Amino acid sequence: MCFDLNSLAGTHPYGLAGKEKRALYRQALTELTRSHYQRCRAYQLIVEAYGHDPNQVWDPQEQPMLPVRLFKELELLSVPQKEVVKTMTSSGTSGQAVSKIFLDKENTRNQSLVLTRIINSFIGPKRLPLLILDTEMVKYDRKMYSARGAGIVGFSTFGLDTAYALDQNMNLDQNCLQAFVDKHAGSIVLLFGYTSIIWEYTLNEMEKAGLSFQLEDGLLFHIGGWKKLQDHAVNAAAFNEKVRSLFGRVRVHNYYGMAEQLGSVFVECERGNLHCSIYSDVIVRRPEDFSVQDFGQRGFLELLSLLPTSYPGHALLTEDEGEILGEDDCPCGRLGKYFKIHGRIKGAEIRGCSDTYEQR
Amino acid sequence: MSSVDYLIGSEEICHRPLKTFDEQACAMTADFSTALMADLQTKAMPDVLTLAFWCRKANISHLRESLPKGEHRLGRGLAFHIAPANIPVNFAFSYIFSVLAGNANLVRVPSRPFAQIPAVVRVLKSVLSDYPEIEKRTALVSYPADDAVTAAFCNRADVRIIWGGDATVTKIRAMKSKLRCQDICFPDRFSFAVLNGRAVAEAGETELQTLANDFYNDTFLMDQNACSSPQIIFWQNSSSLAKEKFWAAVESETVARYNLQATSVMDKFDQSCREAVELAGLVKHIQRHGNPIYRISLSDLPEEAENRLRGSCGYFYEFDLADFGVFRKLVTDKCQTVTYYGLDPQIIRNFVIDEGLKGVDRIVPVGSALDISLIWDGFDLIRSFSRLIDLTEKHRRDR
Repeated sequence: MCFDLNSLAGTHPYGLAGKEKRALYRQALTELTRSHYQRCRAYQLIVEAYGHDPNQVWDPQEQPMLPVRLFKELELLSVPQKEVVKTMTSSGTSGQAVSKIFLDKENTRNQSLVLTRIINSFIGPKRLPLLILDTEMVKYDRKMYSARGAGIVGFSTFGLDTAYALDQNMNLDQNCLQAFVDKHAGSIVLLFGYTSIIWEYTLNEMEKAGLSFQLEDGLLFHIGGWKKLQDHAVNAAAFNEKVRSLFGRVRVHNYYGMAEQLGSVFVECERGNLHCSIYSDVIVRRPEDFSVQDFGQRGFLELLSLLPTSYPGHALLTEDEGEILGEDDCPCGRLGKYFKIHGRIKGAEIRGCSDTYEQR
Repeated sequence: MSSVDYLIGSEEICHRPLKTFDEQACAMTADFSTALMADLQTKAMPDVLTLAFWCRKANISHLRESLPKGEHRLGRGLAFHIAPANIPVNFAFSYIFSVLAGNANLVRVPSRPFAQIPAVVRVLKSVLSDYPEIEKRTALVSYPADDAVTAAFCNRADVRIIWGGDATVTKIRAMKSKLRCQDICFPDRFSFAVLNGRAVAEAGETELQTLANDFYNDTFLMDQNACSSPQIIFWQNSSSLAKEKFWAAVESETVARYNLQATSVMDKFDQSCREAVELAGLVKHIQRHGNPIYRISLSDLPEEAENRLRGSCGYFYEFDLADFGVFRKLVTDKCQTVTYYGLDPQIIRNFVIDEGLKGVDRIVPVGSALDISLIWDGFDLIRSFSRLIDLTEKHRRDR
């Protein structure tokens, strides 16, 4: 039937070279497409309308893709509703529709399994003292199982003695921070949070309060794009520098992932490049016709993941502009494609006669 | 009303109407045409050139002469124009039409930074200085959306010319106006094309290229968002040969000319996937010609097709026509323009009249969808903007 993730258990998360990976993905994605085609009526309608034959074997770039926005507009699931154990929602900008991702037991398990394999390849197999640069409250807001809360819960599995840098009102909890640093002085510690929240609520507030620490060895993983921070002219270099000036010796890894493909995240290496693990891949497509773009050129970023089984999210066209920098040859030594995100595709003024009484 | 920026004129605008096709109005329009064609900046703008061409002396004389001699018309007074926000030169057409009708004009121009607007305003301003009677009846204003300002202008207006979406029309119409105020509204409309597949299949290379170029001008020129741009393409005598030939030719046009926006690429792709699901059972297949052209082939039309089938930036629905019967269900008062190729347009008009359809105001050949004229949305604009002074001679009873 469907591709079995266990077959990759013995492979290093960044240990598959291009040729082997393409063969694996040709088979695995074809099987995923076929499985969703059989189990998700909406997906079937789209695949049929586009005239794709799911009974043939196709290369990854030939697999039908879905626009990521579709998960905000339609309920797409490939398992009976009663098997859904979790409905993930994207945090989304306020006022906008949120994505709904339906997860069954197997899909949920695979997400945490794969996240563990990927993160462990950076931090080692042992749990480490963990400081979450956020409030614990998001975890408890169960009305909506939001990606932010889920990310924190998911990452907590790598931690011991988890502490939170912000109190329930999103204010810096200085005592808690101090206690955490004192307690784990001299040992390697883990930090985790969301890029813009870290910047605004932890880094800026520490600076204002004149608070700083000298960690000897820290690892910060942070999720989220630079979009919000770009308004404040903050880029990766400025972010990393501020982290180090306030926390000491910290290795910073941004990672890219979306609520629509949790688990198979793309982590930034020591060289600042985002990497595909063996569980995911990227394709950059030309805006004029969706054909496959050359390395080093920008285009729409398509994300492939081997994980989605309970919803048809294995090939998603994002609204992000990306650029593949290379494959199998990043100086950091990890195999697979490595890439860069250039932010959201740009909006534009469209002509037309409606909407005359404009607002400004 | 400090937020109002007067680009031309002032609050002291003269309301007294002039004769329809007044000498000064006609001469000013012709001069405006010449000035636009001579100005280094405006003569490089294709949409401004269309405006200039329309305003040329020969056209104005022709229009003037086509008004029956015995018909004595006068403007209504002050016309308040709400111009569309996203079509750069429409405000100027609206203004000129109403000047010719004999009105004083208060025009709200779009505040988006289109290069055409300051350029056209600059040329108009210099032309007006030679025509004091028109100049004192002209005010071009720009202001942020402000209901108080709009309401105050509405109060003074004898004619309101409201372009744009349903929401705008609804909002402005709800604002108080004089009891005799005449409203000419242009709400959202829907348009479609009827192409004869046999004629397309038989078309030679040059003919086909002209057709593709014309179709491009009807649609892509305004991102397919103009009210008169077709959304559905109906095929008479349909054949896949005709369709492939047609779309390949249109595709070449788009590749050469269309500035495809990344956001519309995503919007169209998303819409196509969504509609494959939402119009389940009606969508036969979806084809793309690169990213500029999406073709959604329908086996039947959904309920409320005029509201539901809305394409933009090169997103077309296609339907094979057995006969015009399908128009009975499709056409409501929302329907504006039918563009045709390779068939006798009289047949379409006869169908509209015989069936008593509430929509279809214009039937024009492919290539003319965006040609604005004094007959628009089924209105004779000169007559709607002006007043007829009826006179009955007293007949002598004694003979």
